[in-house]
Amino acid sequence: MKISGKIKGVVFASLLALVASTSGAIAAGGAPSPSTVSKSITKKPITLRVFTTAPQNKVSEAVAKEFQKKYPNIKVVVQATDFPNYSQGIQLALKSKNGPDVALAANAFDSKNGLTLNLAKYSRLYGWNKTIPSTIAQQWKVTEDYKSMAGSIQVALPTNINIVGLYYNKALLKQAGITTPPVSMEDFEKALAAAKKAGLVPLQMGNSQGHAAFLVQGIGQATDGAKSAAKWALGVTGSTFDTAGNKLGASKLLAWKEAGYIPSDVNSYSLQDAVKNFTQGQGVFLNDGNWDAGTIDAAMGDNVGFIPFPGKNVVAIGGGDAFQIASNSKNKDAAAAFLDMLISAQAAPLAWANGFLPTNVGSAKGSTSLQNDILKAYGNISKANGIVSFNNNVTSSMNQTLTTTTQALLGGQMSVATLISTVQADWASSR
Amino acid sequence: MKKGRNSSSEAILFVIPALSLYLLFVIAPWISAISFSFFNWDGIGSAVWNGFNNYSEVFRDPEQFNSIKHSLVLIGFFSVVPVTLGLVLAHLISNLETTSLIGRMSRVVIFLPQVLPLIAVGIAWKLIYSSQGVLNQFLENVGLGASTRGWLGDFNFALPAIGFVGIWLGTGLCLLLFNSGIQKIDQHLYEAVQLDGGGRIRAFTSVTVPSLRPEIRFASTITMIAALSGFDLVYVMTNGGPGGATLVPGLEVFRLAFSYNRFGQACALAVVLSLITFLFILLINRVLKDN
Repeated sequence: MKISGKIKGVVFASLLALVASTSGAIAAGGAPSPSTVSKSITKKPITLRVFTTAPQNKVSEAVAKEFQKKYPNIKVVVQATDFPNYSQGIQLALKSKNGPDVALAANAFDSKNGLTLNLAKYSRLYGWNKTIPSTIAQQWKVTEDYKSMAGSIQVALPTNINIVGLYYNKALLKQAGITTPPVSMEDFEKALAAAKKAGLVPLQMGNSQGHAAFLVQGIGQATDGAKSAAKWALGVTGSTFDTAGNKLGASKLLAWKEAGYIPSDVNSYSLQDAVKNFTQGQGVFLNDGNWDAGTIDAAMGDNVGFIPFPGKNVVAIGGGDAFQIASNSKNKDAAAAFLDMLISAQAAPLAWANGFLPTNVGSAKGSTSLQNDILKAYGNISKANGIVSFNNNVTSSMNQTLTTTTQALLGGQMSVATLISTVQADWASSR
Repeated sequence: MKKGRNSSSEAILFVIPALSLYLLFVIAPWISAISFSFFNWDGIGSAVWNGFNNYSEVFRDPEQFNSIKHSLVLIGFFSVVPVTLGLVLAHLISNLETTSLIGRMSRVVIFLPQVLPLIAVGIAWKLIYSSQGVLNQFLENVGLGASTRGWLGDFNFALPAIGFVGIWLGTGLCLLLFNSGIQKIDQHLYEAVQLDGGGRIRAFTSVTVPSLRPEIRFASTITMIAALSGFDLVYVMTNGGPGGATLVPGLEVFRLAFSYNRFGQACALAVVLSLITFLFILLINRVLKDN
């Protein structure tokens, strides 16, 4: 009995110690600014650790090779995971002492606990603001209270651009009797109706992961215009989701499902399945981002085109990958030099070769007709200053909220009005 | 008495390795989950005391509350049906020669799902239920083309579809447990039923079921825990969709902690879930007490 008494004591004490050690948390302080910044890099042998996601790692690895040629004393190690796991683990990795020096940003607000640097000083040193379009750059600048984007604290440097637009199957469009791709909302609806009449799948879509939200946002901002849509998507106080455009977007989504323009089992499969269906001729249109261009290009070649989402305003949902520097990094200046190379003219063709549209798009040229379409669409959209951040990124739960509500709307479980108010309630809960 | 004391101290020494691992990896995390559940904490930054608010939120937030309701529905599919079906099947095949080909094959086939990893099971069933999957092809071929649908994307069928996989998974385990239990039942009891003019149904209700009480208790407990703590199947098959129709507490805890960065809230839901599990286990043990 004596032994067990002692054991009890030891066990109890170690439990207390464990609870005490696991509840230790660091204080919130926001992204710190480095005290000094410099373009001159150490000559000592060092290792830079870069954490990113697949397939972005292909670009990072290609750039790392060039970087090592320029700085032979630096070894760059690129480590990649898939996005869902990455976004759930990156904060812990940044907190650890053996974490990355450079890391892909999962969310602009992640920096609030001070795990990554405020890059404003480096941005001035290297002149990054001259290269990056402001509509993209502001998605990675947060306000002092870490509640919305379009602020003054630069938490990450965007290195490539994603835009969501409309892919169309040229042969099927012709088969439906439509000669030119749609420009206005009326054109688009006319084309969908014609495709339906011709016995085709008018609009391919997969919503098991919530990608129907692209259509709501696409119609919403093409109606309301980029300026007001961007305010909401960036979390600027005082904006609302309850707009004429968003209401139209949600009602069209529902109406198009009921009219048979969208497959009836849309909730049961994903965007990736929809891409596959589209490349196999199941769908005249597909509302998707340029990140799938490589797959679609390989399967369809000259038979596929890409245009900005039809509507009154030339707009696109757009964002992209952005990189941050860890506060724990011992080689911050070298990390900044690596970021600078990621957006250099030298890196642009490396990004393009791997299917990424570089932020430094300048002289990029497409080598296929689809790539040329995407460049042309991007040119028109940026000329119109029409890039709007993904609605999904405005709060940490918005992606899930948009998934749940669009599924419920398409499944006949939720009204347009409830969708709008549920989405707005999520938005407001973080502000 | 001396001898007894010695053996009990020795027993404790033998228990220490397992006990310390259990304390370190089960009890200690559970206690820290309880302590986190009273804080508003994002998992990285500073934690703020939040009293019992996280607990009341579990019942106020429809997303969390519905996940608990779904898990109660799944108990029917993961526990009640497999235990009942397992009992009936065990009784039916108890007369089969254990070495006969049919006897062996049926046991292998019914038990097979148990040895497959749940992730693989989920992927396989996801394909079966898909729009172009085997289930819809079968329905087309027998003239029920009008009933085909994307099963896991349908609000009415997604949860039962996952539940059906639970039946498929659990029945084999229950059958195996009950089958071995039946071997231990004194054959004279069955003869006595026959002498009294009772048939196979009477033998089932008067001998098989009462004699298998400990096995039923064990099978109910572990299948119940599987139903309440399920994560893998739902994560792979629907990720809680469509529209939250298949969201279960295990997945919601994961989501709250790692997607929404609401660690304290996730811990509160986890604690509520463990209390519900305890409650059910107590209930099972009360109802299926040994005489």
